[in-house]
Amino acid sequence: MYVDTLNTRLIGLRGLYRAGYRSVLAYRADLLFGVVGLVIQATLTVVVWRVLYAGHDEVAGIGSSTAVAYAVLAACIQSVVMPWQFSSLPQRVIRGQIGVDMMRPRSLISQNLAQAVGTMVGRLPIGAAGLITGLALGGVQAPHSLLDLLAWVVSMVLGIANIMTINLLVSMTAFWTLEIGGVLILYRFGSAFLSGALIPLWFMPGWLQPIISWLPFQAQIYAPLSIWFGTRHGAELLGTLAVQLGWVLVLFLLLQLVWRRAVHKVVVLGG
Amino acid sequence: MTTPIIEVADLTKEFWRPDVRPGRFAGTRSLFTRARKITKAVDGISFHIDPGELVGFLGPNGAGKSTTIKMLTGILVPTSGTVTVAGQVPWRDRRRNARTIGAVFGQRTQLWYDLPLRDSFEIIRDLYTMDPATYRTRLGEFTELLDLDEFIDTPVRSLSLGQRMRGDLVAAMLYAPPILYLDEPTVGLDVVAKGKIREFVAEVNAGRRTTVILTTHDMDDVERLCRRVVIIDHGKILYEGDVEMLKAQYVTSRDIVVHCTDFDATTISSPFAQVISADPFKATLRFAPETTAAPKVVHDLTSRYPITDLSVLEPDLEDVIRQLYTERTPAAARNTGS
Amino acid sequence: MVRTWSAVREDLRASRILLRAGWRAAMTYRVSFLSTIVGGVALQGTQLLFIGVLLSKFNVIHGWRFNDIALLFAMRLAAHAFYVVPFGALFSIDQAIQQGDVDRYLLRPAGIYLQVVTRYAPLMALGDMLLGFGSLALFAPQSSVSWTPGKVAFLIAALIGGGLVEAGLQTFLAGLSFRMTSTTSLRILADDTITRFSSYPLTMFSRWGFLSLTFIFPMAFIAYLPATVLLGRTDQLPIPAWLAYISPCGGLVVFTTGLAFFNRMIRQYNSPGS
Repeated sequence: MYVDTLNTRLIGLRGLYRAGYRSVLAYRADLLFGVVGLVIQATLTVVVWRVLYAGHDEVAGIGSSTAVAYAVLAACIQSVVMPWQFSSLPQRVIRGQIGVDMMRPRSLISQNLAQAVGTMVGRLPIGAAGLITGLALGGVQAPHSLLDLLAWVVSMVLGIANIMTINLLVSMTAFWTLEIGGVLILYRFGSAFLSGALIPLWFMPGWLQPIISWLPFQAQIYAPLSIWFGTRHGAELLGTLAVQLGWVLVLFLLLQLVWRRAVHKVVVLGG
Repeated sequence: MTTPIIEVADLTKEFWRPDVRPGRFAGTRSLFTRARKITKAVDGISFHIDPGELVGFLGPNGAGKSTTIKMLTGILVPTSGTVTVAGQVPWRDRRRNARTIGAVFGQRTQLWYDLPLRDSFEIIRDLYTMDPATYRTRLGEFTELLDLDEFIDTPVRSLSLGQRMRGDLVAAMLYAPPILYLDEPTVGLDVVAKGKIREFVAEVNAGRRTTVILTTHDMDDVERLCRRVVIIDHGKILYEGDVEMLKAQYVTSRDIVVHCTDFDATTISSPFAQVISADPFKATLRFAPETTAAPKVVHDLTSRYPITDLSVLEPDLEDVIRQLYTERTPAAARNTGS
Repeated sequence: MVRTWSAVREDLRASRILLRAGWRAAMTYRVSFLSTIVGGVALQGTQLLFIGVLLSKFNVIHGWRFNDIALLFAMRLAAHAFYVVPFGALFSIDQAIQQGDVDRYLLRPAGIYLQVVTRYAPLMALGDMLLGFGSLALFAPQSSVSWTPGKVAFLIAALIGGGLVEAGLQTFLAGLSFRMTSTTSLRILADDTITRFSSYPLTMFSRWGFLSLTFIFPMAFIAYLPATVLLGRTDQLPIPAWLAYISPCGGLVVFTTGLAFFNRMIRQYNSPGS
């Protein structure tokens, strides 16, 4: 009798983690260009922001060095966690291979998440290269205090969990629509904008800021980075982390619900 | 002596890829390695094909068979050696070569996936600058030969494998190229479909004198269509010549099955053959064709026993090929002239 | 490597036939038009949002005011449409090779490049077209340019030239696919760099940076150089002004170079599978 213990579950997931990690190394060229790309992007971004700030000391209460560092860090995070390729889930649904996945002993959600984490870890060298470039150009500074750094780590983990959950949620729309290509593209660029990856939310128009702060996206990049730069302290810091945690829980719940409906659709309705 | 339409001399093709020892961090190491592993996919092969022949190309997967075909069609550039097809070098005179050949690849269609089958034919008609009247006549002939009427207006993506294969065959022959390459054209098809394809190929070869090069794993294809075969393994030619001669050389034994109604077949024996199996109604005997001719054994059995039915089994080509593959030595020593 | 006149004529005929087939096939798709347009607009449109939001807070960048930067962006977007609409299918070169389509192209009496570029009709490009010409219609009148028929003609030549620069660059990189397993990430890198940074006054990237972006990775020819001519800002360039005046020709040079390289690399093609 096969006993499904925590140990066996972890072993199974580790295999998928490895698959994600290895898939990054499988294409040596892709990894290399990822690094080169981010180094170029980091360099040019630093220049753009410095030129933008020429003649200003502060804009929207933010100084030049902070804005530059933010742009570089956001680019690094994006390249590690949100690569061009989403999970293979949508393709597998369209090709009808999803039935096989559903028969596997591990839950599909943990399968996908394990693989996504593996891929992310595989891409860490890219982010590292970007960070080094930023440091070399004098564009990046470390957080002011150790507390800020530790808080950032917690916040970043929550942000990453947020990103992966929403990624998977959006991928699951493949079960209901053929238009998955359009949905994914809209999501990718919409979230790049709303998460603060493209532009720090400090610079957004006044009327847009409240709307964005109510969405889960700002918890992905803007929240962790505003902690890195020490703009949140004390109660505000805890509040931010709480909101992030809240979003992760809500999204995870939503994911389970959507997944159940998807399984129902495929298994019962033969979707 | 007819001039060969295809001439291949000392043809060689080498590939290389990064060489990494498996083990920990093999994936990461492959990013930095410079060592290369060179594979000789095709190693100095030579042969020729006369116009109007129907030649079978056989060989295990990865043996260099497809690589050879790709060099013949001009898809790959040889590392060394020469290929001449209808007086042209395929990879150099690519466009002119394209007009003299038709090709069907079993795995991948050349038809336009989203458009009706008929549209693909029209596109080919235009691309190959066919005369409209010739196109109409020929399409009419082929439509009848292969029963295309029922699906000629269906999008290619909705066709069954058999229908798609028929469509691909027509598309390849539409502009009447003198040479036709077929790569596994009957794989995955049902018996009826296979029959139709073979009929078409035979007709195109006999009726229009199209030179046909048939790559296949299906021995029935070879038995029914090919007079000559080229067998390639490990990049070299294992055998090149007549199918019949191949069988004669490699077949060490043949079987005779005899049937008796009122006689106990288990008592049958022969000085020329060995009993393999026997039940009261049927006995199977094995003899060596090298030492004893079939008629002699037949005569011996029929003159001494009341046999109601008798059949001499054809040597199984598949067994012959399998033996060849296991031996893996070029047939030059055993080939008594081809 | 010189193509004969008959080959060129053959290709002109073939291009008409294959393009028609491609667009007819595209019409059979069941995915909605809207979704495809959205896809096309999303990537480039994000950049527009970026510069729009930023310039509302910072009014000037490197001495260029908002309305002129907007023109620069619009020119880049319109030039991009001139690349993506005819050449968009080039993006799928890796799939064309891996799925065995290039094998088939080698057996047809038509150019390989032509067959790759016409293998499907890039519907998403229609979104780029909408965005490009729309933003041009919006921002050109608001810029500092005093438009004359001559300047409009120059603009059109510059847009076509800009499209050819991008096409040439992508064609060059696509040629590498015949040698390497996958150049997709490399081509996306080039595309991203152009998308993100070609619509700025490139002299802001220091003299050395500007020269690299003009002569090594020639994206200056896409929008910036022609814009300096239209805005009368050629005196700010570290290169002679006449180079900027003939910048639309840069596209021709880049494209012919890229295409020549692509055709050369076909010789190195190793068909996939055994």
